Amino acid sequence: MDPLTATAHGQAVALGIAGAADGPLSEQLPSGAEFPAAVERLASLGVDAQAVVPLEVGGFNGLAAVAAAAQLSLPVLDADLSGRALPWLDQFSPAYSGVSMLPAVLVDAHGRTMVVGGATHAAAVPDTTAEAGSAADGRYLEEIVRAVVRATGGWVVVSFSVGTLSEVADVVVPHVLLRASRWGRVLAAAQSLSGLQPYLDAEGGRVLGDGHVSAIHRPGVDGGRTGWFTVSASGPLLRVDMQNEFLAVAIDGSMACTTPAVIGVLDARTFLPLRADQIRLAADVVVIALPPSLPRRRDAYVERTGPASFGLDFEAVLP
Amino acid sequence: MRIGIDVGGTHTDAVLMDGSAVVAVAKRHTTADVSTGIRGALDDLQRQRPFLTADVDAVMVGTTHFLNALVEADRLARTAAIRLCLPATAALPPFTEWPQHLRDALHASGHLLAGGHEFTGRRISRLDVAGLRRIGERLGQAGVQSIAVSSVFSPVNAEFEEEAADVLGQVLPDVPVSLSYRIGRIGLLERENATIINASLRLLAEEVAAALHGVVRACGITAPLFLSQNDGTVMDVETVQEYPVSTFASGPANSMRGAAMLSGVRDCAVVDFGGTTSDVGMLRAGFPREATSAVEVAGVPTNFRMPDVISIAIGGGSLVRPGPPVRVGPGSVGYRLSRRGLVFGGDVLTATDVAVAAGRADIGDRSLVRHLDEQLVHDALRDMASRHADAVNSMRTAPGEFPVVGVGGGSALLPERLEGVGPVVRPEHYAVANAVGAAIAQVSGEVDRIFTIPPGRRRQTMDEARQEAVDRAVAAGAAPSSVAIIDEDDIPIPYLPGEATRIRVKAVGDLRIARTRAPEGAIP
Repeated sequence: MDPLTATAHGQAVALGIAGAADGPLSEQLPSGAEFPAAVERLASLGVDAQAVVPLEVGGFNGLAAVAAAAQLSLPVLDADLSGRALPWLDQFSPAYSGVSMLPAVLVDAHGRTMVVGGATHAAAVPDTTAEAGSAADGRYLEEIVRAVVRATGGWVVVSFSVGTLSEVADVVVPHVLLRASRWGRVLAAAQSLSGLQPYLDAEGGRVLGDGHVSAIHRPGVDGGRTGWFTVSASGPLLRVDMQNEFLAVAIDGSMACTTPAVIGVLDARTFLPLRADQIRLAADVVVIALPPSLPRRRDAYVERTGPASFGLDFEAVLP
Repeated sequence: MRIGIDVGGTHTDAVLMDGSAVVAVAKRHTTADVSTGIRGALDDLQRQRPFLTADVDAVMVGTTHFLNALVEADRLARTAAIRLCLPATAALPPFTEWPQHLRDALHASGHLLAGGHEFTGRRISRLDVAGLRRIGERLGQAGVQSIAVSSVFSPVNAEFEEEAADVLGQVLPDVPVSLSYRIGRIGLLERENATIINASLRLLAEEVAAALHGVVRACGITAPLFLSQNDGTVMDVETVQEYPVSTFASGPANSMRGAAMLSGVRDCAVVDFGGTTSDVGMLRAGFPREATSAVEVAGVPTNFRMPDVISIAIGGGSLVRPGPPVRVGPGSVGYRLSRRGLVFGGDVLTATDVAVAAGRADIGDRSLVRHLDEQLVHDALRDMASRHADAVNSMRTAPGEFPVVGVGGGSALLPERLEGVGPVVRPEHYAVANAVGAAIAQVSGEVDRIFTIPPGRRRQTMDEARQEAVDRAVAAGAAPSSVAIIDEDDIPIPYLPGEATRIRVKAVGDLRIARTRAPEGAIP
């Protein structure tokens, strides 16, 4: 369903899984009942779910929401709340669009359901962040979700309403699902770098460089959130900063591209994308950049998802 | 001295190596019973270079037996899979995504029970012992021959898998049980699949081990017997009976390591041109490049770490279709080449016949292919060359020329240059590179699991993981002084508190040779 022309009654429900995709989610697999349980619980809170929107198109969550929509026999919006992969819920679009993520329903790896309620008149949620409204709700939910992930199996289903379908165009990042599936087809069929070029040109993307991974500093190893790896070949030296996502690429020391641009690190033979934790020493890779998908609140998006939101001390550079 | 043996679909090769020198080579046709081919090859070695059987320190065998059994869905045990997990994972039960014909061949049945752990090692739920007994009894009545047990996060905490093995051992004392934590790494479905494959091969593994043992002993050799593993290291034959899956795809690693040793070229493409297929892989700094994505085996997703190899259906036994256009393969006479090929007096035009007609090889009776049309021979060679060039090109990750090392009996069919790639190097003893790779193999120990690292203890935890990998290599037969860490990585698990880290360490060492010089060791 195109979010820009959606006129149906009812609400769009955001669905996704927060936690560690490689590790807990590949061992303690979902039972399959989690998403329906979440939507059912939301219904009891008055949410009339008529469409599903992925929390984020990046990684596991893009496909998870599509599978959930199929399971629930609901349409899926060609949109998400992040335009890429993002680690923190308060970076997601409702947090800067005046839409509260509360009440939210969480379902853990044991199938237990939790409701994170919104503020009531009787007892307002204490606002520890000096922020107000949807931003504060986003921060609050983020902290609760982290705690639940730690306390349970390492991942948790997150769901909440993003508002009525007729107004959803003001909240979401549109057209990211079909864009991602288009790129998936392109990469799966790619035989050579030159074969990729026309598709990059068509979107204003580019190849930042290729070569082999010559050094890796993993994120989190010394307590620091950000890690990096270098790519060297006969050409310039690339340095890619990463947390769980690829965040910035410097070429010979000068910043070439940063989040929220889409930074892809591809296996140089198969052209299939690699995750940050799959980067290995001596692997042959290609680094590409694509312009970000943008929501209507463009400036707020770039601010909330730019380098500073990841704790990096430089300005956003988009291709 | 060591003996390396490679039992392929078409040929059984053997080499006798003294240190890094190849002192005798033998090539026989693979026989249906396998042992006869090996016996013949060992006798040939003895004739070429008489040796005292007591001077043989080790015999290493690479075999495609287990892989073939899986691909052909033949000789597999009736296998059940039991997963300890509930309430988690129910959406994707065992055998999800398996090809139907393999499920049928295994008489597959999957069972889910309460159990499993979280990433921290905490229990998801208690093991359902009563339920396990009931399933065991049902499986016994159904005639199940082998059982695979997997438990969520068993690489972190294996208590439920061990307990399940005890319970099943009481109910079904004669049915072998394969435990996932001993076989695979993190990633439940892929580890479970590997465990099921292992379970399905257990009965065959006993037969193969007995046959290999029998034929080597019959030749008077009392040295320990090892089988090559997927990563190019070896495992002793007793252990293989419990873990056949770890040896089932050793061919590519053996041929590539053999090619590196024989040619001395450390950065190149390797084409292993066999009887039925040709495998293309890449060597960097002497080591095979590994696949980054999940490896599918006979249509089953697994997470084995294996060399990145592509196969094309061209081999010495490939049928040549006169066309037009002339096309080689994909059909093949396989090990029947020695009866069906024209140069052997047969009635089928094969790639080998073309090679003999073109003067690239001298096998069989050349006069029997003298009548072949020159254009046909030329076109067939060109088809093979261009398809190999395409395959090698698809493996490249950088522009420019690089050498191609051709090994395997069929590599005589390669041209001197591959168009758009580079020169083709064929080292001495190219035809037996697989057996050489087997003979020079080392032993390894590996650790790959999630560790919970207390604050400030990262270095200590890494040291513990390294020590564990070294201990495992020594336990597998490595000489302690030779063991070195060849690969390690520690990856904090994203979104979890910093202490949860996946640590991967691999240690490799030279085989410890226990010299037990038997006095009766004489030239038989």
